[in-house]
Amino acid sequence: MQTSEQSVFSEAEQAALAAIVGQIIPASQEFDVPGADDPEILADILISGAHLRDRLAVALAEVDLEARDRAAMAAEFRKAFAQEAELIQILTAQCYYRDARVMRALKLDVRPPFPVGYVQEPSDFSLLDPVIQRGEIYRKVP
Amino acid sequence: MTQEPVDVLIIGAGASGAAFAWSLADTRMHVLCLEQGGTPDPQTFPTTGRDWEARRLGDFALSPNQRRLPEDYPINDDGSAIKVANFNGVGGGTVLYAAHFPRMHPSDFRVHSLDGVADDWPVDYRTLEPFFAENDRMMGVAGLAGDPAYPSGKAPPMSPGPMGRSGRALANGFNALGWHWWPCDLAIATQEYDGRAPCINLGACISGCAQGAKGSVDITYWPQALRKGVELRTHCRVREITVGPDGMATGVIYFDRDGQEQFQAAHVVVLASNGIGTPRLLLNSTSGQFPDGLANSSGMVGRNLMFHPYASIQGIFDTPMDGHNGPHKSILSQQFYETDPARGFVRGYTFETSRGLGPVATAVMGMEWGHIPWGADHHGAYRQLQDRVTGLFAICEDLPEDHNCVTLDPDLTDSHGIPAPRIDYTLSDNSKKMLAHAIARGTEAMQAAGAKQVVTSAPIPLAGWHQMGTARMGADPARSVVNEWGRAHDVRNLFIVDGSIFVTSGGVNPTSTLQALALYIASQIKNRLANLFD
Repeated sequence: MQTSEQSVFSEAEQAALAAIVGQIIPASQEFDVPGADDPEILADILISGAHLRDRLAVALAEVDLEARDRAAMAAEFRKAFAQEAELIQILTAQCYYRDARVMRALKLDVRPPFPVGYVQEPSDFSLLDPVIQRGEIYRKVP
Repeated sequence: MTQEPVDVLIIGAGASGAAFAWSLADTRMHVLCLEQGGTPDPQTFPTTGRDWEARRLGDFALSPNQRRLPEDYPINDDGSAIKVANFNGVGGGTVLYAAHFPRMHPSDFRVHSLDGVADDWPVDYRTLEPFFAENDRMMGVAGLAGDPAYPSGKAPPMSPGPMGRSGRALANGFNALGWHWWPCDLAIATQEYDGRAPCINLGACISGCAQGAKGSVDITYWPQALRKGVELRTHCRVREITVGPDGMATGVIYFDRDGQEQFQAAHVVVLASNGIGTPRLLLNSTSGQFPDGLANSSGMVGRNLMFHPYASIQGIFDTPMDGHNGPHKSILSQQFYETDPARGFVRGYTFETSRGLGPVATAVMGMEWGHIPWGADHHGAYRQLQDRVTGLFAICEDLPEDHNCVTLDPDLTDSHGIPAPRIDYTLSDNSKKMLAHAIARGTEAMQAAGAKQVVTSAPIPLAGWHQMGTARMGADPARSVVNEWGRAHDVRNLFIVDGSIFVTSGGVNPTSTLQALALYIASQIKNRLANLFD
C-alpha cells in the first residue's frame, strides 16, 4: 500500500481531505461501519484520487482544520467549492462502498461481479396477455 | 511506405465494419480492415475487480474526452447539448453498449410520406428484413416473438433475458395503464450460443462483458470474418483517403502502431467509422478535386447530425428491486412510438427499462438527488435507496436539421496531429416537446408500478451513443452523400456503411438497423461486382 509520504497530496492536503471525507461519510456505531476517513479507506482515496490532486489543491488549502464544528466546516466547503466538493463526493463513494467492512455491513458479497455473477428470478410472461389481446399497434406503411 | 494494394479496405472495426467485412469475405477478395484501437481483453474488463464502478469514470468512461486513451481522439462537443459516447477499438461501440437490439419500424423508413417531415429512406423495412434476421443470428439476439409493435416474422434465436423484479414492477405498471410493453430484444446470450457462455447477470454491460455473453462484434463477427480470410490491422489510424486524377479513391494514408506514416492502396474504400469519425475523415480528405472534403459536392458531409435525446425517469420503491443484478435492459414500451398529432409533436419514442444501481452509483446518485446527505444521516438514507431504484429511459426520435453538424475544429487535434471533430448541436422544439411528454408519461408509469418518488431529467447530457445522419443516403446527389446502396455519389469506389448514412433516426437503439444496412450494402456489392463502378 502507498504510504502517506508517497502520495501526490501534501500532508496538509491529506489532512484536509480526511477532514472532508470524514464529514461526508462519518463512522457509525449504529450501522457498524467505519467512516470514509478510516485509514484504509483514506489510503484508497489518496491513491484513487491522485489524478484529481491539481484540481483539488486550491480548495483543500482553504479547509479550516482548526474548526470546532466540523459539520459546519464541511457545509461551508461544499458551498464555496461546489465542483471540487462534487469530485470529492464521487471519489469518496467509489472508495467507501468497495471496502470489505462496508460491503459486509450492507449484506453485499465481498467480491467483484465476475466470475460468480448473480441469480435472477424466473420471468412471468403471462403478464403479456393483455398486451397480446390488444393486438397490433405498429403503423402500416402503404 | 507503400504496401501492396488490397481489393477492399474498411476503416473501422466496429458494428458496421465487422458485419460488412464478414459478408464481403464471401467474395474471396483481399479485404483489409484498419482499426485505430486494439482488441479488447475481457480479462481486464471492470467487473473482474471490486473497483468496477469506479472504472466507469476512468479507463472505461463513455466519453473519449474523459477516457483519453491513446486510441481515442478528442471531440470538441462544448457546443452540443448532448456529449458523444463511444469506444475506439475492435468491436467499437458494441464493447460498451447495453446490447439493446430493437429494429427500426416500417414507418421509420417513410417519415416524409407519413408525417411530412425529413426525408424517406431509399430502402424500406421489407428490403432489410432478411438482413435483420441474419444479423440477429450472427449477433445472438435473445427475445420473444410476437411483439405487436412490429410486423409478424421477427423471431429472435434465443429466449428472452430475465425481467427481474424491476421488469415485473414496470410490466404491472404498463398493464395498469393499458400500455404496450414487451421483453427487450437483447444481443445477450441466455444459453450457450456459438461459443458464447450464457449471461450470469454481472450487471455492467456498458463496461464490457467479462463473461462474453454480450454480443459485441469482437466476439461475434470478427472471429468468423478472420477465419474467412479478412485481414485486421489494429492501432492503425487513418489520416485521409487519397484520390487519383480520375476522381476514384486510391487508398488511405494512415499512422501505424509505431506512429509511422503509411500508404495503403485499395481498389475499394469503405468507411465504417461512425457518425462522427466518418465525416471527420471525409472532411480531412481534401484535394484539388475535392476542396471541401471528399464526396461532399452536396455539402451534406457532417450535416444533419442526429443523436437520440434521452429522458431519464428514476423511480424509488419501498421494496427491493434488482440493484445492478442483471442486464441493464429488461422490457420496453412502444406505446408512444408512432405519430399522434394530438400530442403536439411528430414521431415518437421508446421507453426502455434501466434495471438499477450498484452500491457506488446508489451513493453518488442519492447524493446528487439530495436524497442522501453528508453526515451522520448518510447511512440511514443510503439504506433507503439500496436496491430500491429502477429506471426508465425514453429514447426520442431525432429529426435531421442542417445546422446540427460535425466540422473540423480549427485548433484541436489528436495525438497524430489530425484535426479533431467539433460538434454543434441543439435540441429542436419537436424534441423538447417529445422529452416533456416522455417525462410526464414515464412518471405515470413509474407511479403505476408502485414508485413512491420519481426523479426525472432530460436530456441526459452524456448519452450521445447514437451518431447518425452525417453522410446520409438518398437517390438525389444534391441532397445526399451516398446512393441507395451505400456508394458515394461523387466517388464510385467509396462506400459508407455506418450510422452516418441514416436518413432519419427512428426512436430505437440503432445497432440492429445499421448492421442490417451494412449487410444489405455488402450484398448489393456482391451482386454488382461486374459493374460496381458504372
